[in-house]
Amino acid sequence: MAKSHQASEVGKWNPSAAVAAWLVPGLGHYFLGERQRALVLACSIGAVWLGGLIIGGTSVIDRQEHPAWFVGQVLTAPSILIDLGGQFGAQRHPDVSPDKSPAFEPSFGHMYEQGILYTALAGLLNLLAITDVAYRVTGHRQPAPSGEAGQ
Amino acid sequence: MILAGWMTVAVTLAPVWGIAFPVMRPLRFDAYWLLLMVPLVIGISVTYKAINLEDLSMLPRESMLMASQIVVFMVVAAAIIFAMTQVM
Repeated sequence: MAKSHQASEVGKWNPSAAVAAWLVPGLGHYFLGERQRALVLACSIGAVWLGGLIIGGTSVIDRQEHPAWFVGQVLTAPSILIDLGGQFGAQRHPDVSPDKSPAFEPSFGHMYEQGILYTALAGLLNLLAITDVAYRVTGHRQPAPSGEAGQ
Repeated sequence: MILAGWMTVAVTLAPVWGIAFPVMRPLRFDAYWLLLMVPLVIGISVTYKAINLEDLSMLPRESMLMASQIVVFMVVAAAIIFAMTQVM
């Protein structure tokens, strides 16, 4: 009896919130009623992801160029749209070199590496948020053991 | 089909978008690329603490503390590696 009571307090499986968190960072927490936490997560993960795009340009998200990094990047769903846009643009204008197309300018060197790092880390941070929201007590945090709060 | 339509519009308007939006062109920041570590560390710290803290009023203090700890650790690690490779 005590065991089942404890299990009911531990957490609840929230697959829809997890999917929402994958689609838009912070949306899963918003659905569970934690709006302040959702706003902070949306701003922080979104800033890291958008920062990567601003640093390296949209060419940093490219599943054909670097599929291993794309595994991390795809953990934030908007990366898929950026990749699709890049692939679609390349198919539509295969003969246009980057010099003649001012819209999609590829990056090289440190800016390229930093852009990839930022977007992939944004994905991994979103994975942290997804796993947090996927299995948790709805509406409030689990009480932390004494001495571990904020660690 | 709808997605292809939207993609066509997006690609057609891309030059205008590129001027208006900076994500189409990379930053010219190569000389100071190491400074980009700082906002990344802050982003990681804020996200981690936002997930783990029970009381979000402690978030600014806790995340800045964690960010500074990471930066100090990385600087110390870099100094040790530099010493091992250059001095020894």
